[in-house]
Amino acid sequence: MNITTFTQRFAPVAAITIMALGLSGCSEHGSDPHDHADHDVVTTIEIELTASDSTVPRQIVTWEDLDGPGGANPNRIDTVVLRPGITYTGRLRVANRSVSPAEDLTATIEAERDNHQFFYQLSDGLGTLTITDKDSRQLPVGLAFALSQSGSAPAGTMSVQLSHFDNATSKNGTTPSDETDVSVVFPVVVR
Amino acid sequence: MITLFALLALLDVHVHGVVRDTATREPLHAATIRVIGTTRGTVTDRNGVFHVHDVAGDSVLLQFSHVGYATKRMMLAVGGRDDVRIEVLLVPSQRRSEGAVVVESRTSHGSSALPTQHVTELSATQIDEHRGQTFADVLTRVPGVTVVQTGPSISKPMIHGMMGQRIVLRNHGVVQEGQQWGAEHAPEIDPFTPARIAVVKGPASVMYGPNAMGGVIDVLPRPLPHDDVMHGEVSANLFSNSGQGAIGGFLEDRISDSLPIGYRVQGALRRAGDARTPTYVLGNTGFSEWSAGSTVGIGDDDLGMTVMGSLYATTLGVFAGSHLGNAEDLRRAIERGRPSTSPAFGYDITSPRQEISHTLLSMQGHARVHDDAVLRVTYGWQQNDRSEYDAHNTRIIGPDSAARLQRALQTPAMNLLLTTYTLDAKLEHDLAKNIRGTAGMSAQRQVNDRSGTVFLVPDYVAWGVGGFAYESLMLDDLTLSAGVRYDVRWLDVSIQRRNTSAREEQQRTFASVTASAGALYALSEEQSIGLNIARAWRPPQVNELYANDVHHGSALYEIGDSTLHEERSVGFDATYALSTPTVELEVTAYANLFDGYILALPDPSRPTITVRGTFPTYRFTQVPALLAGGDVSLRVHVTGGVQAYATSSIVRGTDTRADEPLFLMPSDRARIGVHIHGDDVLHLHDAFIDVSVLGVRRQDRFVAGQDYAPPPPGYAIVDASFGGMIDLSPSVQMRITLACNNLYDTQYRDYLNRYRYFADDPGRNIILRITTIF
Repeated sequence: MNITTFTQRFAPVAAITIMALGLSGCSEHGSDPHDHADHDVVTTIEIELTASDSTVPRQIVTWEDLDGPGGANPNRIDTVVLRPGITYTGRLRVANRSVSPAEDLTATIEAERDNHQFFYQLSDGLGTLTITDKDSRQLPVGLAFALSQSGSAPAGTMSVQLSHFDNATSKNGTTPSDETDVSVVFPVVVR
Repeated sequence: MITLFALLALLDVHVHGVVRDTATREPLHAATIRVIGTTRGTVTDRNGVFHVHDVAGDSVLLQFSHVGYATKRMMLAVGGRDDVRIEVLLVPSQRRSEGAVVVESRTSHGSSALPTQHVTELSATQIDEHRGQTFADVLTRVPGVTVVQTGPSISKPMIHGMMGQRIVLRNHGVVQEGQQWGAEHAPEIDPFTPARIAVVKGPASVMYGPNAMGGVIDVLPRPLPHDDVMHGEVSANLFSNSGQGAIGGFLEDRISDSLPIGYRVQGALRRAGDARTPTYVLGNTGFSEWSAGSTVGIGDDDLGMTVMGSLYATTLGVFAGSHLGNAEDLRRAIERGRPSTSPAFGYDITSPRQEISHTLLSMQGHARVHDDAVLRVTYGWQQNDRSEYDAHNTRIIGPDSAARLQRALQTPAMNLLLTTYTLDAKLEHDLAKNIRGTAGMSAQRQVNDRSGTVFLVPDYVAWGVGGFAYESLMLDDLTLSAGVRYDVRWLDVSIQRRNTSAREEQQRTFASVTASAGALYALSEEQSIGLNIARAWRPPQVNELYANDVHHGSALYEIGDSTLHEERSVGFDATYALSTPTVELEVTAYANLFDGYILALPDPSRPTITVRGTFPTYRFTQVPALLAGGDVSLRVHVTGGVQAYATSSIVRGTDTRADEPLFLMPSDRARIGVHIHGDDVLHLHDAFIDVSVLGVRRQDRFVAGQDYAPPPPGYAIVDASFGGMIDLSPSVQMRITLACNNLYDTQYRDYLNRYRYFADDPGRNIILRITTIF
């Protein structure tokens, strides 16, 4: 094949090739922002316990995993200290402290109370816990509760679980959903 | 399909032309041509060429037949012309269509494997008859190939228990690079892509580099047309189970006879709703997909070039019930035995979902540089853009509102943009009359850009360079092959940990030798034995090195190990093949011995504690392992058009250090069926009825307590289909298949379906496939 024929034959392809190579000059980097500000991460669970006996000081216990799920395990898990026979009023707060300023997510859950429920469990012999706040259908929410120490266990655990219900009608007050947003365990001692 | 065109017109009529396979365009040798109504006829020569002289009358009825192809009749108007040239394209017959056609490609150039290796090829017709909802579905017809499914819309092929980074998928001569590490990441190829598929079950690393250690799935594009006649196909598929509708097609032509430029344009669209099990709907399992592509080729066998570009985009719903907050949620879902909600059937796709697009550009050039040598150069550019949207990250929304929720819903939890450049050059040469071989080099650059809140793979830049050569000696009844390859891979990662702005850089280099040797011996005209041995390796993948996050679908926390070294294997395989007019038998046995097999093992002593609870932690590690098994395929021509067939495959994976079974190995399976073929039934020619039973055993090889739930029980399902061809006109044919998969609406769960923990597999699926060929 002589060079002229060669050129004639391949002229149309040259154009396609140039277009194709132009296409492969596309960016190797995505346009999505690398910040994650729009995603909420719960880093911190705080429980404030106020005793009915005013001589017992107010207690705030914290469970915190500042780097979010994954990475390092939680940096802080406080121990709940209960006095024998004392009844407490409990308040629970949820926050994201991985951003600055920190976000208090409690109000969001409060606003979407029909779609959320906290489930508490005290290990045997520590006492009883009753949720005191209600949603619009008179089902428990769990941002507020009453805890009465009774029983003989010197130590145990208190677990806190937050279930999210996509559909408020599937919330019945007793069954957790399959979508757990928070599931943490606090150690408890009685003294 | 028949196309014809006449040239000139004078006196005595001479009909001549070429007979070809419609899909491969290969000329058909020894096809029979009869002039109906006379005793005259002829056969085609080696080039598929035939001549019929002195044809009388205004018109003539010709019949074309060839073993393995549908017989074709055509009426030719010859009046007033003296020379009629035609091209006849024969469609492979339904007679062969059930069994995979085995190609023992002694010619080797252009083959997907060494000539001593076993290649199973699915023809365009076979693909058309068994085309499923996803690209990988049709591959399950090949014994030894299974799919790992994430529900009905995501299927990932597995060859002899190996998938993802241990097998290579080639598309138009370029190794497809998506995010293969994820079990829920399916190949980004539309099922309507006009192509044949060759499956190499065994190491092919010498040809395709380290990741081909387990095998190759080669999507071989339909050759561009040789003649100045427009061809095309339009296919429509309907699936009752998910209410899926799909349409695809292509059009191809050569610009003119004088200018050697051929082109093809193709496209496909599909939309599926929620899949249905026998008793409930799997919410949010619909998907939508589109693809488009074009190919332009110029030149001839001595000098030429092909440019192919394709776009593929899909949105895949992820079953709502599979997206769980923590391990306790998963335990409850397993105990319940079925999804907590059973929504009404619909086409809506919400979060969780995947949005993926894949752009591929392939440029292939070839030049005959010497009488006995052809140089082939392939440049590939591809970009894979994968976004995964979680349901979880978009729920608790901070101290504000709808606007923020909207933004969050539109932001993927993970976005991965993977760009890959490949350049391959190889010289195919004949050293002597019976020694053929290939020597070449390949280079690759890959860039991954990650964003989002999920930390399964880091940003990285990877480079790879390799050089290889393989030669084959072809004697009368013995073929010997040997090859060697050396590869180096450089990996440069930039790791960003959660909630820190600092990046951690790391460089790793991996290099090793690949080698293989094989022999194929013809015991007689009808029997052959092939033996192969191969040493292969692969570098650890980025997720195996650096993963550090929860897999929501599996509620597992995966942690990579950045000190992993290369995974090496030595593989043996032996294949016996028998082919007589009444019996076709193939038996394959194989063993792959691994040093440093990479897998994720549970680490119960160090669970991962998060605000969503405690997750079982799996750490990537390396163990010595053995993967061994066998495949059998048998077909008996009982009488006339009746055939009985059976296929079976067995895989055994063992962690030889702990002497424990490997996780997620396919369970033993067999298919037994009957295929009845009739020449003309109800205006259909090449009509067929096929009924088969697929039996799958329970996977009884597992480590107790390692998985959330024990493997599901075994199952048997019945599939049936019937169909045939209709001639709409001399040049337009229609192929119709009506099939019913899972005929008895059997309730079952497959061990390799990732939804098996919480939901059944889909129930009965009635499928209508119509392809019009012109």
